[in-house]
Amino acid sequence: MENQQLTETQLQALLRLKRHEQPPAGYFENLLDRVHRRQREEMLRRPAWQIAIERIRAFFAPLHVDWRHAGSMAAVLVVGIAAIRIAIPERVVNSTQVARIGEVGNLQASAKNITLQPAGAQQVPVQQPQRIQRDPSAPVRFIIDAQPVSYETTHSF
Amino acid sequence: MDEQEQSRREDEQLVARAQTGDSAAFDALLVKHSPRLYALVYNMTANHDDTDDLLQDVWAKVYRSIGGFRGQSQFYTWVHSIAANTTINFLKKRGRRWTMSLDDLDNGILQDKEFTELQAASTPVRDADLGELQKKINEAIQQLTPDHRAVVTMFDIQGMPHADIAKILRISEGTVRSRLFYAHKQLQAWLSEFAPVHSNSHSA
Repeated sequence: MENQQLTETQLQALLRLKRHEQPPAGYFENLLDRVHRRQREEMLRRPAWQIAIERIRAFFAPLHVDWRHAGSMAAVLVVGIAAIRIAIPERVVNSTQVARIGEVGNLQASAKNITLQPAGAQQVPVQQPQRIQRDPSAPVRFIIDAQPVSYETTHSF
Repeated sequence: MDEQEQSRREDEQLVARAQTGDSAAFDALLVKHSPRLYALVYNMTANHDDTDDLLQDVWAKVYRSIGGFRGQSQFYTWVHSIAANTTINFLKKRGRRWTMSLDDLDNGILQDKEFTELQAASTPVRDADLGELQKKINEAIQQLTPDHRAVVTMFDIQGMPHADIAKILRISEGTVRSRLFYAHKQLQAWLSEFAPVHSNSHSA
C-alpha cells in the first residue's frame, strides 16, 4: 500500500473545503459598527490641517479637479504674482532714476536763480540751532515735553 | 443584463454617492463586499483576529481614498487590491510569529458534493476528523509565501478568474499561472497524506 500524490482536481477540491470556514454569526453586522467607531476615533486623532485639506478636497470633488493640474496652475499663479511684485517697484525706481539723471543738471543750474522771497524783501539771516552746553558735574535731568490734550480748537462763545 | 454587470453598475452608483459624502452609500459598499474581503484576508492569515483588524484597516483606507477613485478599474478590483496588498504587507512583517485561530466549519460541508466524493475516494480524508483535516489544509497553505498564498486563495478558494487576479495583484496572467503551478506542486507534496491509497502490487 502506498500514498500517491494528490491530483490537481483532488487538491482543488480539498482547498475548496475552506469555503465552509465561516466567521461567527453576526460578525458582518458588528463589523459596520466597529468600522464606524474606528472612523470617529481616527477623526479625533487627526490634526486640524489634515481635516481642512480633506474638506477642501470634498468641496472641489464635484468639479472633478485634477490636483496635479490645479497644483501647477496655482504654482504658475504664485510665480506670476511674484513677478509682477518684483517688476512694478523696479519700474518706479527706474523712472525716478531717469528723472534724476535728466534733471539733475538743469536743477543744479536753475537752483542758484531761485529765490523764495518776494522782490524787495530783506534777507532774514538763518539761525543755526545752538547746542546747550551742560555742566558735566551737574546731575542729569530729564525734561518731558508737555503734550497738548487735544489738537482741536477751543470754542469760545 | 447579467448579475455581474448589474453588480458593477450598482457599485458605480454607490461609489459616486459615497464620493459626495453619502455615508449610507459607503456603508452599503462595506456590507456588500465585506464577506468576500473577509474570505480573502482570512484564508491568507488563518487567524480570525488578525483578519478582523486587517479588514478594518482596509475599510479605513478605502474611506480615506474613495474620493480619489476615478473608476479606471472596477470598485471590486480596487477594493480587493487594497485588501490583498494590505494582507501581503502584514504577512511579510508578521514572519513566522503567528498562531492559527480558525473559524468553525459550517454544517454545509457534510452535504458538500466535493467533500463526499473526496471521502469516497480517499481513505485518509474519510478517516480524518474534520477539525484535523481543516488544520492540515491551513498549515499547508500557511507554508506558502504570501504572494503564492494570495493567488491560491483567490483562484482555488474564491474561484476568481486569472484575469481578475492579475488585475488585483497588478501582475501578468502568465505570472498568476506560474505562481499557481508552483504553489500547487508544493501543496500536493505537503498534502500527499490525503491522496487516495492504492495497493502496490510490487510490495505484495
